[in-house]
Amino acid sequence: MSFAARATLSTTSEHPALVSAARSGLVQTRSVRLDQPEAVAVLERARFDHLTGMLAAAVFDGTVVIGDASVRERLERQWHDELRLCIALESFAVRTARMLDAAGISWRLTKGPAVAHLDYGDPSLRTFGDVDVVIHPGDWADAQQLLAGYGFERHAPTLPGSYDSRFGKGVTLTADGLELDVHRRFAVGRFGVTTRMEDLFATAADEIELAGHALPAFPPAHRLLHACYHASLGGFRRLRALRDVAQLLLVTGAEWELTFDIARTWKGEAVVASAIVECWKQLELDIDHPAHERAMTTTISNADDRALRLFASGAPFRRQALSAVSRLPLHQVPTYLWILAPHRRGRRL
Amino acid sequence: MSGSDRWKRAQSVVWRMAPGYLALGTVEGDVLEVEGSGDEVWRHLERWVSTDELVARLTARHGVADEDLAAEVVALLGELRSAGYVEHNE
Repeated sequence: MSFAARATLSTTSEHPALVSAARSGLVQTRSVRLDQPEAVAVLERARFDHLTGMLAAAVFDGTVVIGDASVRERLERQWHDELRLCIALESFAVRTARMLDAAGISWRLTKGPAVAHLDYGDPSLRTFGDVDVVIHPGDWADAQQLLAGYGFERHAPTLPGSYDSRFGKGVTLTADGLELDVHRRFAVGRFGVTTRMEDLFATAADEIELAGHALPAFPPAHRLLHACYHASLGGFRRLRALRDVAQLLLVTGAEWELTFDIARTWKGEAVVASAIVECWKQLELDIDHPAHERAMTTTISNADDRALRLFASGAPFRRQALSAVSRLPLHQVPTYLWILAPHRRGRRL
Repeated sequence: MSGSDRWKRAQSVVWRMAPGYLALGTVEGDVLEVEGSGDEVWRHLERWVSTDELVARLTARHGVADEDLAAEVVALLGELRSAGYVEHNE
């Protein structure tokens, strides 16, 4: 049994000011007031979702009206704090790039700084809280060894059986008090084990220049692919993740047909379709776009739908990881279950 | 420094601008924040520009007396130069 993609996965409703912020610069939006007492909670939500720059832009252009001067000042300070962090993270990205390049590691910058520079006219609007890189599967082990040698620390436990390289999404490392997400795949679980990340390295990279250093990034169709995987599988769906999807489709003009093609070969068409449908719904976009039509008519199996709902609900890691079982070759299933089994008795993941 | 001195953003800098705010950083992790019209000055430093030309452009925009604006601009450029955020050509 299957059905066409539906935008019914979200369980949260966002404040109208945040929706207006996430639509800012994309479409005409009626003016929304943001007053106390909810203003402080909205600003906190904007910080959590890295929507502060877009909220500030919406205030500047009058789309969001804040009557209380103290709230406006707080928003401005919050934006400046996030911009200062972006500066620190971009310096960190350059230092990391030098290490990876000197060792001959094949990699791509993705998400935050990549989309901020390549997809947003003003990168100050798109703030972020960490640096994300994708490592070529063939260089995964060398990259881990290299970064550990430079003092990058891993805080989450390593699973046995080479889980990270065989099945995992990646690892989060820290150095200099900053966070580096090192991706092996775009997702864990059902939609992760069928990805073939090496496909993305067969295409020439885009580049962004930071501090005179050229950093490789994915081309638009691949950036859209990652944005969709993040929006659909990154936990509770957030407006900024959906804005990235809209930005890549409506502003950058990413080759969305190619995105769907890759997703289909990865058995992840439902992931892309779901992200686009959810994007249109949450951002209240009344725009005809062929990618949206394609997404609306994409057939999603019950099994895919259950997995999408699992991820959208923010289920614990182990439940997400176990969603891969039905997609694994039979001979790998015992090993996979063995790898995950200790966590039933130990830490709750 | 004279009015004919020329200025340009240093290549080895990362930065962000917002209205009335400028943040600059080095690859080593130093960060400098400038409040006020630093963002406008930075916009004009994308290509080589002389102190006089920079002051003229800002004056045309703000209509402030030359001497006051020139003093502020020269002070800011000196600070950016000493921190390595701009290139300077006498």
